[in-house]
This record gives sequence, C-alpha cells and structure tokens, in this order.
Amino acid sequence: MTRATFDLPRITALSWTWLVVAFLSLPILLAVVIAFSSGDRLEFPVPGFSLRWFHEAARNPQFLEGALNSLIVAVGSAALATVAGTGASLAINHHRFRGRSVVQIGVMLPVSLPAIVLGLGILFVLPSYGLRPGLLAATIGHATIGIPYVVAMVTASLSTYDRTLERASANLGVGPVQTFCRITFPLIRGGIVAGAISAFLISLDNVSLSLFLTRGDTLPLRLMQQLLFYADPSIAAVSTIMLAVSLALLVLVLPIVILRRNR
Amino acid sequence: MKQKPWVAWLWLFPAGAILVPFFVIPLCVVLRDSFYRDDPIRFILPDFSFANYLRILADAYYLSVFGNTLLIAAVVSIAALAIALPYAQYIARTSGTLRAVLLWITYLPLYVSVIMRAFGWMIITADRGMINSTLLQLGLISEPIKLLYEAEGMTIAMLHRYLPLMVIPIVTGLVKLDPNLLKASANLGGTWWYGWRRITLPLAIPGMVAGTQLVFAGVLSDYVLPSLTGSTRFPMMAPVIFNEATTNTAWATASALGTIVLGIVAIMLMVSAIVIRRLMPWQSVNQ
Amino acid sequence: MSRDEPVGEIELEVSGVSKNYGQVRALERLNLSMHRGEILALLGPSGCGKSTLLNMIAGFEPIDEGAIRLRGLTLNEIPPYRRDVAMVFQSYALFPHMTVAENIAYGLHPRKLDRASIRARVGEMASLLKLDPLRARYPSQLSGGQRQRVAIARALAVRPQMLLLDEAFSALDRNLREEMQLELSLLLRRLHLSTILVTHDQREAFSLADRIAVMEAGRIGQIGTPRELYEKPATDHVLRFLGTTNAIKAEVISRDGEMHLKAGGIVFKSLGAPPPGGGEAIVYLRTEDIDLSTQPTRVHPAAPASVVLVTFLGAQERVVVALDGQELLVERPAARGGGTLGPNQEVFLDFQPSRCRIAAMGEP
Repeated sequence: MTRATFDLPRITALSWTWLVVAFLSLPILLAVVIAFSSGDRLEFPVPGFSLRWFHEAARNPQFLEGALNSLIVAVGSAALATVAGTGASLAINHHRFRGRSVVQIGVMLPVSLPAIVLGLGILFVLPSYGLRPGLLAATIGHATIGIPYVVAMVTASLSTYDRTLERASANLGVGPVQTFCRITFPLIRGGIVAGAISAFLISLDNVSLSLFLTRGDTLPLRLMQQLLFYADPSIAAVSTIMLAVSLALLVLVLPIVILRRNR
Repeated sequence: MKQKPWVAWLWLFPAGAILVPFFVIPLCVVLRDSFYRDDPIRFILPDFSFANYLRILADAYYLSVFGNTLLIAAVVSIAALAIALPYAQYIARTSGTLRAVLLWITYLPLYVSVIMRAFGWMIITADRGMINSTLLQLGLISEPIKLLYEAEGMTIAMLHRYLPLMVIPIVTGLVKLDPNLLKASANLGGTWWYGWRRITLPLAIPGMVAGTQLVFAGVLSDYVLPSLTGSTRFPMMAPVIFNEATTNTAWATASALGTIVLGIVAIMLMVSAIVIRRLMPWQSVNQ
Repeated sequence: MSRDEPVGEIELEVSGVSKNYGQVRALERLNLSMHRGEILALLGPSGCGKSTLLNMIAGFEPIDEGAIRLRGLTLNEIPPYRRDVAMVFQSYALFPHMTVAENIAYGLHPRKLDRASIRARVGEMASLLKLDPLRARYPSQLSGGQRQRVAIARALAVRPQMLLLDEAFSALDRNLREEMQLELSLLLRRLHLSTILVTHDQREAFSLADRIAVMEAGRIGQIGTPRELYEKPATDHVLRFLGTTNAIKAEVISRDGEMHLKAGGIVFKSLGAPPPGGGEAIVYLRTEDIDLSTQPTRVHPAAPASVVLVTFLGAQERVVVALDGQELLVERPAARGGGTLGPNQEVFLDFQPSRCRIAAMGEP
C-alpha cells in the first residue's frame, strides 16, 4: 500500500500541530482550573474543587463595579463602531470616490498602530473636547479601535454579496432607501453582527486605552490591579466568567470567520 | 445603478466623526507635543525644539529600553515564525470541521481576556508554578528556575499572545492556493523537501511578512504583559511611556517616546509592503 | 478483440485493482491493459471511479487490492515522485510564482539535468507547444488555452513513460477545446507517447482516444475502439452514455412463437431472447437511427406519430415526435432550403429492427 509521501511527513506535522494547540490552550485551561480551586491561594496542583472563588469574586465591589463599567463602555463603543464601520465598509466597497484607497488604509490603521500612543494622544486632546477621563472618553476611544474589526467583518460579508441584486431591485421599481433596507441590509446582517460582537469583545478586554482614558474603572484594569497587589483565584474566577461570555458570543461570529478563511 | 459621489461621503460620515477627532488628531497632537517642553507646573509648554529627541537618544536608560523592546520583538517574531509555519501549513491542508476547530483554537489567545492569559502564564511560570513544581518533583532541578517576572517568562507570554497573529496571515495565504500544486510537484519528480522549498515556502512569504509585521508591532507596543509578567530590571517601551505620562507627567517626553515607537511601526509597515512587492513580481500582475 | 486494436508491448497493466473509501467500494477488481503508444480514455459519469484509478496510477491514492504495473515494474509501493508518469490536472496546477519557462523546467531539476540541457529542453517544449513568446510570463498573465499548453509542456518536459490527463479540457470553451484536442492528439501520436485521459465528455474521448474504457460504479462496462463501443455496445449503460438514445416503452406481444413488441402503431419482431417476465420492455433506439416518412413504413404501418417540434441546428435537424403518449427525439441531416416537417404533421417512423436494443423494464 503506497503512502502519500508527497506532502509534509504526516506524523511530524500532526504532532507539531498538537504541540502548538497545547501551547495555545494551556494557560487558559489552567486559569479555568484554578478558578475552581478550593485552596486559599494560588497554587498548582489544585487541592480541591470548589466554587468559593466565584462567590468571592461576585462579592467583590471592585470587580462588580468594574464589570458594570466595562459593560457600559463595551456596549456603547460596539454600537458606535458598528455604525461607523458599516458605513465605512459600504462606502469603500460600493462607491468610487477620490481618496478611496487612503480611506481604505486609514480606517484599518487603528489596529496596526500602537494603542499606547493612541491612548496618550486621546488623553491630551480630551480637555479640548470638554471631556475628562471617564466612561464616555473610554467609550469613544474603544470605538476607535473597534471600527477596523467591523469594517473587516462587513467587507467579508460584502464580498459574497452580489450587487446585481441591487440592480434587480431597482429594475423592479424599488427606490434606493427601500433597496437598502430590504435587500442590502438583511444580506450583510451577518457581517454586521459579527463586527459588533468583535468590537464588543475588543472593548471588554482593552487595557492600553482604558489606562489613559479611565481612572482604573474597567474590569480588566481592576483585575490587573488585583493581580499586581495580591494574586488570588478570584481573578481566575472572573476571567472564567468573561471567557464563558466571550465564547457564547463567538459562536455567532465563527461562521463569518470561516467564510473568510475557506476557499 | 447611479452612484452620486456624495452618497459615499454620507456613509463615511460616522466613521469620520469618530476617527478624525479621536484618531487622526490625537496622533498629530502626540507628534506635535513631542517637540514641546515638559513643565512641572503646566505639564507641557509649546516651545518647539528637538531637545526631547536628542535627550532620549543620548540617554543610556532610554536606549536600553528601546534595545530591550526591539530585542524581545525580534526574538518573539522569529520564534513565532518558526512555530507558525509548519502549523499553518497543516491547517491549510485540512478542511471542514477540523480546520474550523484548529482556527478556533488559534484564535483563542486573541479573544480570551489578556488578564486571563497573563494569569495562566503566571501559574505556569511562577516559582511554585507548574513548570517548576513538576521539575522539582522529578528531581531535575534543585531550585526553581526563575521565569516569571523575568524577561524569559515575559517572552514566552508574548509568544503565546502573538502567535495567532503570525499563523492567520500565513494560513490565509496558503489556503488560496490550488491544492494540486504540491501534487503536481510530486508528479514531476519533486520530493516533499523539493516541493516545500520551491513551492510552499515562496508562496507562504507574503503571509510570513504580514505576520512578522503584526507580531513585531504588537510586541513593541504591548503594555500588559511586561507589566504583569516582566521584570523591573528589563523595562519595555509601553510601560515606560505610561510612566512618563502619568507618574512623571512628562508629557512631552512621553510623546517623543511614543512618536519613536509610532515611527518604527510605520517604517515596518512600509518596508513590508515594499518587500512583498519586490519579492513577488507575480503578485502585482493581475489579469 | 477487434482488428483495430494496436499491437505492441504492454505499457500499463492494471490487475484486480480495488479501492475502498470507508464503506464505499470505489473500484471493483479492475483489469485493464494498455499498449505502448496507445491513447486510452477512461470515460464515465462522475463517481464512476475513473479519477480514482488515474490517481492510483499517479501514486496519489494507495492501492487497496491488486497491482498496477508500468512496463513490468510494479508501482504499488513506489511514491509518486519516483513514478515516471506525468499528469496534467484539470486546474493545470501551474506554479503561480514561476514564469512559464520556470514551470516547464520544474521537473528537470530533480532529474539532475545540467543548466544547458535544461535550457535546451525548455526551448524544445516551448516551441513544441507554441509558447515561445510567452516564456517570461507568469500564469496570471496567460489565457486559459495558453495555461493548458504550459501544463502540457511541463508534463512532456520530463519525458515521461506515460502521460495522464485529468479532465484536462473541461476548463476551456467549446471551440478552443476542439482545437486543442486536435492539436494534442496529433502531437501525442507524433511522439508515440502512451496516454491515459479521464473525461466525462464523450466527444473528448472519441476525438483523442484509440480505445475507450467506459466505466460505471467502479467497473469497466466495455473497452474498445470508439466505433466498437458506439455500434456494438455491450451494456445498456454504454449504449445510453454514448450518443443520444431514445427509450421507448413497448408492450411485448408474443406471436407465432416469436416475440413482437408494440409501441403505438409500431410492431416489430425482436431479435434475440424475449425479456424475462414479459409484459413490457424498453426499446433503445439512437436518434440518428430513426428515419421519418410521411408514408406508412414496414415497421410503422399504422397509427402515425405527430411532430411536436422541429429545431434547425445547422447541419442537423432535430425533430421531436409524439408516439402513443411518448416523446421521441430524431436527428437527421437538415434538408437544404426548407421543405421540412411542420408541427402536428403526421409522420411514420422507419428504422432497422437490428438497430434496437431491448431491455426489460427496470433493468439498468
């Protein structure tokens, strides 16, 4: 029986892949395990199984406040990013205008340029806009880095969208606004939702911008303070809850991602 | 369908309303402030000069910070490249459910909270963490290896955080290729090594360049991992910038440092675009 | 064995080859042999196993049972890169980052040819396939037909013992396809190169191949020259796959010990044994074997059929007639300058009973 030896030696590739998978998932699995620890402090191996740290975390006012703040900021920034990003993606992909390629690159830049520098800059300009570091500033700041994600997702959705549908609609006598509402929008809804969720998660997890734009109010910052001060499994517990939330949301994003990646 | 040009600008308005005041202008302000002067009372004075840059570039401390950061960025980039390439190749070869699962796992470090990741690595690399307790128990070492709060531990954490950014562009590039290319190579007499050298590797280069640029830029501007897993004896750019801006309220200095980082990233973006265009003449040819 | 079969040394021998994909039996103990210099087509619908067999010859699929021998050498355990068979893929699989010249030269490096020889060989192939002005171009700059030539040149450059074509013409449009098929068949005959081509297109098989193996569900229905297959199909599948065939439902009437079939006004005696079970049968008749007449004929003395539609196709004319509730297709040379049949006109069918093939209802 001939073996297919014309590509990567199977066994090597396979074992390498699983090593990488282990590398990528290990810290996260560990953190989840620690969250369920019954011990008094951070230790491995874990002495026993318990939910005490989830209770601890739920009773921690710092965490609760941080979580609430983060949620507010995340929802707000996701909304802003979605509107802005969808519009930008539609403009770039469906219209021709001067400066189109500049805009195309420009709209994706917030994700490639160092967030720390952006945070610094926004902090500097806040007074000129009559704003102070706080939830509003954070919301707008997070929206800035959320926009590229929305644009990417909506663009992916648009790439499978057939423009002749718009022409067919016009041909049947439907005006541009109606066409958008009844044809365009429903078809790219998937990309928009995926983008919104991505922006939401990005905001929830953001540290670099929140550092400058809040007074340590968001959940990641609170967690970080706790970590630096006294690391205990309650941090793992909170993180595990956040992970569960992210995973639940990501189930919705995944189809769009696969659509992009597959042939 | 008639496209009135102003419709495009209408669609762009929301994005513009956010990005211009909160992205374009802040960056310009940072650039501008880098030429101004720090003042203990009013934080910053508009006194245009290159003094900040000169001071930074002459200061051994700042230079060492740059050096550290660039070193770690380079190490992580190279390690990520070496690890990602076979992994990405394998993913590109799979399809359907397996590929989806592998991609999902690859994305994992990206959507898991950065705190959680750092936490996980702390568990692994701490003095009484997983690695050390295992090695101690096995009797392979007599004293815990210092990984956490050292540059080495931080580097591993960085690798974990940025590996997906290297894998995804390579996978994207390889997946677009005709799956029969390697078959054709074998059919014409090429061993898998020949095929890898002449087909897979050259065609993976655009992805590799894009990935390297993403990883390098990421490490360069990372704040969280150095703060949580790094060492005070090995300072990195982002925490230093933050310190200058907040603790020292040296806004001009912070701006200058930030501009330098910005400059490095921008140069990398341009260099990688040029490299891609020059290494791959067939890419820019379109029919 | 017909007189047309080429004589010579055996080039390829497939003995008792089987292939399983899980539960599915893709190939069932296949036997096949080919002579040197012969062009053999594997013809069949998708899923019949033709591509599987080709891939097994090339070494991309392991052989579960049986053996494949090329010039006496058993290929089973030999990896693909050491088999001397060159393949042209349906998508051509040209290396996008290499020029035409580099693509053609690809297989020459592992064969350790020196630079001068490589350059000479590339030049030779380029002129052979009329690619001279395109040598420095990249695949993305070439048209479909040009890409196919490069794929062929690349395969021929390594001077293989055998050439494999995997649906190599399906990506071209009709006119280009026929042009390339003609060119390639002339080239292959000139080079006396053994070739196996896989296709689902009857025309392609007929225009290129010396012999055709019609495959279905992992088995070979019949191997023979195009004429043999067309005029003397061994199975119903072969008959239906080649040419356009009408399937007429007919009633079996036994008369005077002979079996007669009745469909509409047509009564004719069947040659050969009555179908088992009796009652009803299917009569297969090729569209070009039916003639139409305005007068009653020997096989069709009464109860005429009526014309439904006449389509002018250029050299041919296609007529749809309704007979006893069934629709039949007739193809015949178009009469020049009109004078043809019109809708609802009454016509009588005429054909040779020997041209019919009879199958019992429900038989494949």
